[in-house]
Amino acid sequence: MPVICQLKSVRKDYPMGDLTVTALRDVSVEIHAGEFTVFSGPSGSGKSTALNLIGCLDRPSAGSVMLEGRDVATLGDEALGAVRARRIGFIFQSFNLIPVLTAYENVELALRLAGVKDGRDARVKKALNDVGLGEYLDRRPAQLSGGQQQRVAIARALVKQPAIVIADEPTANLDSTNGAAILAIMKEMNTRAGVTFLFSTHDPDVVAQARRIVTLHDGLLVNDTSRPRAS
Amino acid sequence: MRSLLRSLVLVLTLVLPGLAHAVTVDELLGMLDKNLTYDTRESTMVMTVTKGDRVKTYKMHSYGRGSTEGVVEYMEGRDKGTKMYRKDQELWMYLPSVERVQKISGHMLRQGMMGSDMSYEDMMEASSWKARYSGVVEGEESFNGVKVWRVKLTAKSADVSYPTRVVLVDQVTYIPLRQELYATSGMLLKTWEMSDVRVIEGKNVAMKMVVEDKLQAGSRTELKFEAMDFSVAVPEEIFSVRWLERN
Amino acid sequence: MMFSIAIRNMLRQRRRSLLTATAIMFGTGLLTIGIAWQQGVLQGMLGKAAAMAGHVRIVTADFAKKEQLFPIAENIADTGPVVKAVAELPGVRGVYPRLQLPATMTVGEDIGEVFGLVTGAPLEFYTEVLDLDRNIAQGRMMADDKEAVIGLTLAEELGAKLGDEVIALGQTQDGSISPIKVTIVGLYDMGGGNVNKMAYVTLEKARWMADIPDGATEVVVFCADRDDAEAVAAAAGALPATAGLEVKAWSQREPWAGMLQLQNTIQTIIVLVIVIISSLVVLNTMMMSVLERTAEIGVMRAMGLRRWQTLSLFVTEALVIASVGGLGGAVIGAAGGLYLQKTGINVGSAVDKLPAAFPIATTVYADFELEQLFWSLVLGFVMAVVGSLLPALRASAIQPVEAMRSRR
Repeated sequence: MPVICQLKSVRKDYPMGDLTVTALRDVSVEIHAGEFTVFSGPSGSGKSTALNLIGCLDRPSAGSVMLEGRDVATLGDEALGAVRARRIGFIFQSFNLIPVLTAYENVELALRLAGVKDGRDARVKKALNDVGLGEYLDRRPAQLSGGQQQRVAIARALVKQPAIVIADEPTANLDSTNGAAILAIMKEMNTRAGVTFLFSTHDPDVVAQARRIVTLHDGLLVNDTSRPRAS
Repeated sequence: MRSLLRSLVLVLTLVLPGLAHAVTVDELLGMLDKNLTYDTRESTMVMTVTKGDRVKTYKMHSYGRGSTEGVVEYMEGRDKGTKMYRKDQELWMYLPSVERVQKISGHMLRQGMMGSDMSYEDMMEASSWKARYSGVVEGEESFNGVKVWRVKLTAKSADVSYPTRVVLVDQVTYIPLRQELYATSGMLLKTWEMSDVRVIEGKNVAMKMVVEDKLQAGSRTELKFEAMDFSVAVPEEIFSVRWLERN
Repeated sequence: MMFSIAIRNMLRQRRRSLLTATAIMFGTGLLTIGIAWQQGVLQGMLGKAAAMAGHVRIVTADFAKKEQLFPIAENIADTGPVVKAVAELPGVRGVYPRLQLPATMTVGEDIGEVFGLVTGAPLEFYTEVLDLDRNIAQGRMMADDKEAVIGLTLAEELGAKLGDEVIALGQTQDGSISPIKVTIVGLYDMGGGNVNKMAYVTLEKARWMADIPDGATEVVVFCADRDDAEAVAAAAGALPATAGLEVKAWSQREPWAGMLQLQNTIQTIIVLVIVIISSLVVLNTMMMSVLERTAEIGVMRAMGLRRWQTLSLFVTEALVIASVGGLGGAVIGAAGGLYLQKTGINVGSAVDKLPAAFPIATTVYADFELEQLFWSLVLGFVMAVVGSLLPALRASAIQPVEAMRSRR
C-alpha cells in the first residue's frame, strides 16, 4: 500500500513561559493507506502532538511532515487549513458538533469547507445513511444521543473522502454498547472503503482491533508493531 | 511798560544762563493758569472736524465766566440752536429737535464734542494746570522758531483725564504751544497745538488750536477763534440751566 | 449558510443577544432624537436670526471690522445703486437698506438709562421679512416718520405704553449728539425673550438721526431660499455696484459661522460618544460569546474554516443583532423625534439672558427628518461592526490545537 503520510525526523517544541518543552524529539514514522493504527503512550508521551502534526493542525519545529507526497511543514496557516478541509477528517472525544446546525447541516458544512460545490446533497445523505442515521437528518445535536452524535461526527469526517481520519478518543464518552457500534462502523469503513484511521486511545477494544500500534514515550518512538491483516 | 519789563527779564535770562533753569514748574503752571483766567469772556469760533475724508464745520458763539462757567451755542446747520451750559464739573445740553435738556455725565463726557477730537472733559478741564499737575522742566528747545521749555507733567490725582503730559511752553507768552497727552500705559492719546497767539486786553491768547486724536487715524479738529472779548458785560441769567430751555 | 448560523447563534444566546440589541436600540434611538433636537435648536434660531440679520449682508469693510462698536460712520453713503443692482439677481426676494443705531431711550421727563437699538428700514422689510405686522400684540404698524413700533420687553423696561412718546438719544455719523422723538403706535411680540427688545422706526427717521441722507450702515438681502445665501452672496459680491464692500452670507458671518462650527463639533461628539458606548456593549457581549465558543470555533478551524470566514461569522452575527436593535431604535427615534417636533420643550427664561444675535423663542421644537433616521441606522451598523471587530479578530486567531486542548 502506498505511503500516505510520513513524519521524518520530526521535532516539536512548545514554549511554556520561560521554558521550552520538547513534546517530540526526532520521530520518524510512515503511515500507509488503509491502515487502522493506534498511537499509544502515557500522558505527555507526545502521541497527541504526533497526531496533530499528521493532521496538519500544527507545524513541526524541525523535520518534515509529508502528506500525499507534499511537505506540509512549509505551508502557511491558511494553506494548512485548506489541506485539512479537503484531506483530513477529525473525530473528537467530545463529538464537537456545531450545536445550532442539524445533523445534515453539520455534515454538509464539511463539504462546504472542502470547497465542494456540486452533488453535496447526495453525498451528505449517503454519509448519514452509512452510519445509520438516514432518518435523523433534521435533528440537532441536542436531540441526539451520545452515540448518535458520534455517528454524525463520523459521517462528517468521512463525507469528504479524506486521506486520513484522525480519531482522538472516539469512544471515551460512550457506553460500551455505543462504543462497540462506533468501532464497528469505523472498522467497516476501513475494510470496505479503505479509509485510513489513526487513533489516539486507551480503549482496549479499539486497541484490539488495531492492526498496528505505534508507541511513544517521552517524545520518542519506542515501539512500532504491525499485525498481519486478519482475514 | 509791561513789555519793557518783560524785555528786561529776557535780557537778564540770556545774560545769566544759570538763572534760566531756575524757572520752577509751579511758576510755569501758574503762568499758564493766569493766561486762562478772566472775569467774563465772549467769543465766536469756527470748529472744523476732519475724519478721513469727511469734513464738517460748526460755528459757535460762547460766553464764559470766571473760567469755571460757560455757555456755548451752535449757530448754523443741523445743530443750530443746540446749547451747552457748563458749571464747574457739570454739563447740560439743550437739544432743540426734541426740546429737551439732557445732562451729560459719566462716559459721555469723554466723547468728542460734536464728534470732534476735543472731548467735553477736555474743554472743562482747560483752566486748572497748577491744581491738577506737578512736574519737571526737562530743558529748553526750539519749536516752530520759538524758544520753549519742555515740561513733563504728572497728574496729581487719579481723576485727571490725562495722567502724563509733555508740554512745550513758549518762554515769552507762556502759551502751551504743543502738548502730548498720554495714558498711564505711556500710550499717546492726543496732541494739542496752539498757534496764532495774540495779545487781547493784556492777555496772551492762542486764536487757533489743532487737536488730533491719536487713537483714530485721520482724525483732526481745528478750532479758530474769530473774535474774543474780555471786558463784556454778560447778563447773569445766561449762566443757568433755565436759560438753555428758552429761546 | 453563514447567515443562518449567525441567526441561530443569536437565538441560541437569547438573553445576551437581547442585551446587545437593546444597547444598539437605545444608541440609535438616542442618536436620532438627539440630532433631531440639535437640528431643531439650530433651525429655530436660524430662522429668526437669518430674518433679523439678512440672508446676505452688504456693508463696508470697515464696518465689518468694527462691528461690535456700531460704527455708524462706516456706512454706504448711497445705497440706491447697490439695492437696484442686487435686486435683479436671481434667487433674491428683497433688498433693503437698514440702519441699527445704538441709543439711550427714555419715556417721560426723566432721562432714562435704557440702552437699546433703534432700527430703521423700509416698511416692506418689516412686513415681508420680519412679519412684524403679524406679530403686533397691541396697536398697529407705524405709518410715518413720527411713529415707532417697539417690543414688549423694551416697553416694559421703559415703563412705556401705547401712545407714549419715546426720546432716543444717539449720534450722527459725525459724532454729534442726535436725538429723535417718536410716538409708540404698536407693541410687537415675536416669541419672547431677547427678541422683543427692538425699537423700529422708518428708514427716513433713522437716516435723519444718523445724518446719512441717502445711505445706510447695511444693505440686507433676502433670498427665496435661505440655503441659497452663499450662492447669492457670491453673485452679489461680483457686481460692480458692490465693489469695495463686504458681501457675506449669514453662514459666513459670526456668530453663526462659529455657531455652525460648534454645532457640528457638538454633534460629532454626541455621535462619537453614543457610538463608542454602544460599541463597547457589543464588544463585551460578543467577546463573552467568543470565549464561550472557543472549542466550537477550534473545531470549525480544524475542519478548515479560514480566518476570514471566522471573522465574518462573528461580524455577521453582530450585524444581525444590529438590524434588530436598529429597527427598534428607529421606532424609538422616530417616536421621540416626532413628539419633540410637535410639542417642543419650554426652555423659558434661560433664553432671556442670551444676546440678541441668538434669538430663541421660549419653546424650542425638534426638527425631525427621515434622513436622520437613515444615518442613525447606518451608525447602528457601525456600532455593531466596531464592537464586534475585536472579538471577531480574537475568534479568527484561535488555533485549532489550542481549542482541542482546552476541551480536554
